[in-house]
Amino acid sequence: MEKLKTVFAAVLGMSVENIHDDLSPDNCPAWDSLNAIILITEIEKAFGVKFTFDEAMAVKNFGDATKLVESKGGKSHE
Amino acid sequence: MNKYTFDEINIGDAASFAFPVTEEVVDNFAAFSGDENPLHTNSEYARATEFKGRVAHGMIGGCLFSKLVGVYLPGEYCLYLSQTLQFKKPIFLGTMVEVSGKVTQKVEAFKTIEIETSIKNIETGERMIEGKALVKLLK
Repeated sequence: MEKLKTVFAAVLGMSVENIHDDLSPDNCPAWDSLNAIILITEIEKAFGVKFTFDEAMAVKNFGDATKLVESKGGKSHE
Repeated sequence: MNKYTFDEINIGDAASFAFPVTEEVVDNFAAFSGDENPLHTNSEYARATEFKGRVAHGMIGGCLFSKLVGVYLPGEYCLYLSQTLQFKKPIFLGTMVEVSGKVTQKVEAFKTIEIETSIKNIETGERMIEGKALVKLLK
């Protein structure tokens, strides 16, 4: 099971099977401004990485989050 | 009141205070919240339950966590974003509790901190309420 999907599923209250690259605040009502902060918090904790404000704000969908985590050396497929 | 800024907060920082959960506290909470469930307000009714006495509202603990973050950790610059709660044990009237919090995570991007919060019975050491607070620092 992909670690990043597990984080998203836990925070957004979804099953891992429903997490896909195009998942975004536009098509996922649970991805609101508060959960956006919680997502970044949980990703940093899970992968031991740190994001800047600009990096965090640039995440528009799950695919962006995957690329950002990988760019920080995190292995999102773990 | 403490005035910690985001930069002054470190992972592992902690704060705590003691609080007596008295009959007056429970009666006042029942009055303002409107939760007058007899388990909280009626001694005779509560004695006949498995608890054998009146139990404080769990959300009194939630109020105490509000004081913890708003006054102690971080204090004035706190913007309370969320709080999880798990009610592990009933708090009976007359219990002296310790409310405590420890910073477990800092997120630079949003200037937020995560605080592990707990309430324990000072006399027995039992952890009665646990949760996590997410707080944004305004400075």
